[in-house]
Amino acid sequence: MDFFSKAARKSPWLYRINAGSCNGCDVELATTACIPRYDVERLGCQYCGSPKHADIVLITGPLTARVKDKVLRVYNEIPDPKVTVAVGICPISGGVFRESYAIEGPIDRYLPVDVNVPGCPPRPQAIIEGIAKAIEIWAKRA
Amino acid sequence: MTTDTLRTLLTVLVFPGGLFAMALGLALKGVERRAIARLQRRVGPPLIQPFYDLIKLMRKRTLIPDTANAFVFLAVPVAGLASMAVAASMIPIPGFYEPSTGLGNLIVLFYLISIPAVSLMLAGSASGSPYGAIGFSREMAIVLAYEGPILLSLVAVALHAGAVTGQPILLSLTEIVRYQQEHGAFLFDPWMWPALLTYLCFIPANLGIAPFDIPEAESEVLEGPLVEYSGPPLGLMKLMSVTKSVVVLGLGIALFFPNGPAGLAGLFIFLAKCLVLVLAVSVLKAAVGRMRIDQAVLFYLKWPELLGFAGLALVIARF
Amino acid sequence: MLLKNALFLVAGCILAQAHINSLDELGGLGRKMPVTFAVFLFAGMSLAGIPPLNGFGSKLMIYEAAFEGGHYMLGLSALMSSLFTLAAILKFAHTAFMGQLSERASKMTEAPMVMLAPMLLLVGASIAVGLFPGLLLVPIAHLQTGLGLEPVQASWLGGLPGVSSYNPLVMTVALVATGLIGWLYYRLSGSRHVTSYIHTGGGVMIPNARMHLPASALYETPERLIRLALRDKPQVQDPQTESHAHDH
Ligand code: SF4
Repeated sequence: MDFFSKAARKSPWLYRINAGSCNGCDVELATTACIPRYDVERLGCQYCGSPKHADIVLITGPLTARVKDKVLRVYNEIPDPKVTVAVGICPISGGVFRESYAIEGPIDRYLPVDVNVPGCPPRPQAIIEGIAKAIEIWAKRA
Repeated sequence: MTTDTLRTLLTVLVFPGGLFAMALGLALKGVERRAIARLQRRVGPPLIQPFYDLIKLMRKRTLIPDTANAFVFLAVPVAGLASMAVAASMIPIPGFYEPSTGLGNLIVLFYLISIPAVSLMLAGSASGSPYGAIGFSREMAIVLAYEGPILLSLVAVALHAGAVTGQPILLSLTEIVRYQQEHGAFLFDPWMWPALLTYLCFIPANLGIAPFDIPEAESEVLEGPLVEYSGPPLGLMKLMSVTKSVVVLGLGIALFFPNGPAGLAGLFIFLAKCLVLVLAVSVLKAAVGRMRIDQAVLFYLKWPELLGFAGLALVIARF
Repeated sequence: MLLKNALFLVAGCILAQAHINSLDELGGLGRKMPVTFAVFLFAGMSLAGIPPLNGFGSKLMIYEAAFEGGHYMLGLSALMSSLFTLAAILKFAHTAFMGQLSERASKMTEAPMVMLAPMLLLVGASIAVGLFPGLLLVPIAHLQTGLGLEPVQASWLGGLPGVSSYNPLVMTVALVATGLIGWLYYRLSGSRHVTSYIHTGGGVMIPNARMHLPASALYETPERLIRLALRDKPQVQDPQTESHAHDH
């Protein structure tokens, strides 16, 4: 068992869900935090195209009413064990969209969030630290 | 009979098929990922990252879609992996290992190499996902396109080897390798270069390497046939594709440049050649983007096909 | 022979269950008619020449004979044609047996035993001949000696005659043995199987029929590819006229 979690700790695969974000956080995730300059692959991470391959899911955005069911559906497609990271201030409180009629968030009403990475958008270093925290949790669960 | 069978089983299961080929494939994959990271000026994952991935995937749940054909869905990765393990045991390592004869010759190997593609297609189709079906369709299109050139290349080599040894055609890989050991590699024979180039063109398409990784494109069709796979079946699929890379590279080495010293040194020379090829492949992968499926298919129908015919014509014209 | 007949019987089974006239009306039959599907897959793969099934052995002998006799182009085109067989078989397998259940298919059931038995018999026979080519070759050799001809080399457990020394029995044993590696990986992982739904990017209200790729949407036919390669303008049907034709 210990052997497995040691290996699992070295191989967390990432998947991004956009829950109605303004794309700011997504840009940070996709093009800043996880590309050559700040390399997450050195932690063993790898972006996957399909949610069914993922271990750590990064959710951005305030969970709009329109997208809620879809986000929950995709979230359920990720096989257990998994770890959830909420990126940006939006999933925590709604951020700039707070108190809008179109917002269903905060996201932890619907999903178990393990790590919050606040910021609007958060710095790449913060995102990587969030992923590192998530890896700790993931190693315990695997 | 029995000792012979046991020896065959051992070569298929442990060395150089089975476990050895899988481990080598995983290690080469690690090298490839690291090399690409270095080309992009990053640190990259540890060299044994693919091993971690494989062990990690054992811990995940196996999701089976309700629209899937569960048996086919779970069986095709096993079948693909088995075919690749057997194929790996059919590739001679000069001076070190000769495959057993009961498994057959170059044509059998050619058919075995096409099995992973078939299992990928069946996988995409059996998952019941539209993405999987698109992946299946693209895989089939590209297989139809690259199979012609590779055949021409293989036949050119076999005919050439046959002509120089005084037979109509030489289909035994062991003897092709033995001839080259004695008379110099085909790599240094300009008459064989078209066939060699054709084989080189075939490598990226078969291994799903950019710019021809269209069936498994992760951003367009969500990894195509693999979209519904998770946990252990996904691990087997990855294992299958890395073992395939060993087989395809190894076959290339055996056909065109098998020369090496006898004994353990021969094995190391073989490994070094694999390493060089993988580094070349990762440069390609890091350097180019992805083609569209119709561009890739047309590319294969034109240039490698022409090259293949040229290679064959040269061989026939020469003798 | 055995395989073609089995395939005909499969088609018969499907037709007996539903009188359809287009493949596109089917889909997901594999879950409704598992035995028929298994027979189809076996016969189809064997026809396409997937080793170690028995269609491969006969193909191998043909190729070798062609190359030995100096008919390279014949051998090459035979090799390519088995690929097209594969494409056709897979297309059929996908549209009829895999994927989403179509409206027609959801009402169908497994064929009755009288229809299954002959298919299974044919498959059994072809497995036997595939594994032990000696079953047919030894009697043939006897006949040949009886007629004063030079007999083919054959023994009960031996491989195929010819230069290759390919032995289907050895190949099968090897494949099964390596298949055990994969099986072991499954067993060691002890991963729990969970039924899920397919990934649609979150979309929920897509009808089944829209999710199934029909045969006409799969890879292009070789003819169209050749046209493309020759820069001939592909004949694209106007979707409007096509739907019109459907209505009538
Ligand atoms: S946190 Fe800021 S940057 Fe991120 S999605 Fe919300 S508004 Fe956009």
